[in-house]
Amino acid sequence: MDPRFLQILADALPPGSVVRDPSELLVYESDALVHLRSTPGAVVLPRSAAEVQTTVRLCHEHGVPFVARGHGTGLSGGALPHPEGVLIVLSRLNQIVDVDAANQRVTVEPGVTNLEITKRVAPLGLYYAPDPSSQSVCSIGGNIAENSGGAHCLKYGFTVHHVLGIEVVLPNGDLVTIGGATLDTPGLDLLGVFIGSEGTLGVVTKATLRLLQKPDAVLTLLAAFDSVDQAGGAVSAIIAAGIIPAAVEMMDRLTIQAAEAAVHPNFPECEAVLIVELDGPSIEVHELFDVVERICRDCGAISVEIAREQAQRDRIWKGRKAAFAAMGRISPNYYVQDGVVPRTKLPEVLGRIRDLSIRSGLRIGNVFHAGDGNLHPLICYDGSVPGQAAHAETVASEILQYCIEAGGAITGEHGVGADKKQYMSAMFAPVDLDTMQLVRCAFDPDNICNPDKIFPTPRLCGEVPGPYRAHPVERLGLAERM
Amino acid sequence: MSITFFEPATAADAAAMLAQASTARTPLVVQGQRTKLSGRTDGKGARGLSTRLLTAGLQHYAGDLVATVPAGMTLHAVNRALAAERQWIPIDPPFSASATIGGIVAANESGPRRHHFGSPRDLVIGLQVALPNGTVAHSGGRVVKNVAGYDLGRLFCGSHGSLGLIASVTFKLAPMAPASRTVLATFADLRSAVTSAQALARRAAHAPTAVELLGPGRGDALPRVLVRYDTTERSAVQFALLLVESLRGTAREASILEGEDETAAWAAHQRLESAEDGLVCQVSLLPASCAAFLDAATHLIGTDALEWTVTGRPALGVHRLHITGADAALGRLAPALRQLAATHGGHVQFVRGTSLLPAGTDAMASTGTAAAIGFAVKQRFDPNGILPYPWSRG
Repeated sequence: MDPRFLQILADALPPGSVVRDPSELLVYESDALVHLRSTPGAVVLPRSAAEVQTTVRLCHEHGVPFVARGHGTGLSGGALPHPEGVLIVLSRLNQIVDVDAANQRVTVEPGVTNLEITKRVAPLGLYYAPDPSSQSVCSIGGNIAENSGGAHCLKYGFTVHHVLGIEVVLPNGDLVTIGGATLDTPGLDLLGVFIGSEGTLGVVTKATLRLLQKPDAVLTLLAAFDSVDQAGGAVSAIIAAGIIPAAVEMMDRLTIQAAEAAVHPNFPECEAVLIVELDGPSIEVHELFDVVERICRDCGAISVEIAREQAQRDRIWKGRKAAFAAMGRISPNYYVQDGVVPRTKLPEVLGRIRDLSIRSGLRIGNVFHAGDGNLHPLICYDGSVPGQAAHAETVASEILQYCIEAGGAITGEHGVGADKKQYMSAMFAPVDLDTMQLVRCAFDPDNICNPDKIFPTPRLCGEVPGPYRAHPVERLGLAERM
Repeated sequence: MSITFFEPATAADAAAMLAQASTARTPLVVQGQRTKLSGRTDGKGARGLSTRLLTAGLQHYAGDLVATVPAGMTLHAVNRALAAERQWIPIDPPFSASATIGGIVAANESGPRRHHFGSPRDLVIGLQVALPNGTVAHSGGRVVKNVAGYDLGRLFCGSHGSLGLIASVTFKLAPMAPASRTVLATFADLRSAVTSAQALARRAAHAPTAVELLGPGRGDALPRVLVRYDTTERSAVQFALLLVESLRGTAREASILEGEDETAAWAAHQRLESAEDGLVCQVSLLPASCAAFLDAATHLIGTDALEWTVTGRPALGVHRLHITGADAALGRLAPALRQLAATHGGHVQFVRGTSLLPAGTDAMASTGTAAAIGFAVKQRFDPNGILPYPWSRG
């Protein structure tokens, strides 16, 4: 990276804001998808929106790429640094700016962790609904970039349903407010397209979020089944009965074993467990919960445990939430996939995954948000066996193909980032991707804001889609297509 | 110039017509049943690009609670078809019987049950659009949980036909509840109706699907609040009884409506929300500012001998004001109302009677610091500016 640019950057920011020491830069070379690594040219640790703005403005003036990073918990390499760029780390922007209990809103800086918000507002009887598994460590800025969900998004939706407004530094350095504190702010719904844009449209410096009233009652059950198909049948029957649970999670035998080995949730010995949680007014929840319990039994549940106390519910959720990390207890290495299928296609796709496991010789555990068809197959392998890591990756990729063929999506919550951009062409036609590029080019015509993410082939803004034609910049020899 | 209509039968035809118009720089206005456009003055003189023939191909994936719906179908017709599986698109906007899916999504219109189900932007999971560059693009898909690529569906929700023609929309559906009840409560004044509605919406012991204000500014009729429950028979009855009990002391009267009475009350409410005369505006505020704003609005409107009604969702901070009277007085009122909302931290969008607005008062409110980036997006989609853009350009 050009040392002159780094000096300009360091001169424009308070002392201690710019990290240039190669050994210190190593800390930032990956997010939670650790197999993708790249050392950033420099790291900036801003303490204010103005400092973010200064950094972005200088990057814009000098044509230097930049990548925003929250707490580095992303699972798709969305915060993978650019080797010739600046990594803007937002962990110092970590203040809860305002709690407006009367309007059930909170305004936070991007480095505030998800769970911190709920902890702050819990005494008011309020909470922030999106609850990704990493909620104790992930940042709101990252949640906005990824449109994070969580176990309860079947009923409560995703981050996009809970963010009302954001303050953003655009890739040209302008500081703008998108959305606001009220609903229906005027103009195009830029907020809707910004959320989930994986840091490619700008850097969030503040966000106003909607808070919900804590539910009157929460009831959770754990049902055990002799087969994954039976458990899937119960999920379909619950939905068909017109019940939208707060959460419906499924784990298969392998992931149950792993969870037992790690955190001992005392799950029954079976092929699949279903965790169903209903929340809402006590009157309604108790009535519907009886229906859910009956459906589980009618669908062949061999046992149904009803958690009526918080401690019992915590134990069940501990088993579920530990599932990913617990795989380490039964396999030296594992690969987490994230794909979505229409709920009705779950049995078919799970059958294909079973066949794939046999054919590939690799064990595949399944833990997933069954209510919305979001699969997380965990492909077990041994990294010390030559070729097995690559084999696991091929298997993971084949599962994504199943999702696409079933009419689903290549990611339900982890994002595309650097990891899955090559699969975008399998899910979207070139014209669909070109239409997304219209948005990107409006925000970032110079392609400096988290470049090389999401899109399989970078396209220069102003380039007409269709058969290959040399871009004017290419014709002048100023850029070449890789 | 007389308006000529183009009526494409497919999304590809629509894209071709858009491309032709873009090349010739012919202004076009996308339209369905014109339930929104008749109140608009932008795009005047432009040729119409109608979704009237885009009515084929409804696909209902009942087991997945999802449907893909052609833009030219009316919401009423779609929900009638989905009812066979006891599901529906949970939107109840003004003009429900005649408004098309494309128009409702393009205007992001909703009604009382937004309180529980949200607006179209909360329900759209996929979209097919025809664009001025002659292409037909898809975004999203038919699964609810999906974070692959940019969410163009939300960008088109509320875009008012400024980016292209919405050809079909994929919705997340809701199951139809087995039963419903509505509590109708009257209050001594608008302020107590608004604050009571907001307080009852916060109670965790019930789950209303609508908490709706109906407030006349004048006359003998008292302000009312309609609270609806869509759930099981037992829960609906218990919620309604509990609410009536809890309203003793705050409401003048409270009664439970069911069956035909309930249907009639909501039909009457929707007729009010579908008013076409005078000036109609949508006001968005922080919930805690609603009572003060409506008090001040009562005073402001009263000074010019105008009649008015307010409907809306006090717990969400969104209301619809319908004001009638002399054109000149309505024209004077419009900028004053916008100013009033601004002093309460909110904004006003005029949806009917925009021809009455004085020079310098736009139908749409200011987009603030996001004006330039909003228009930059518009220019990428419609570089020759053939489709209307109702907001300021920054």
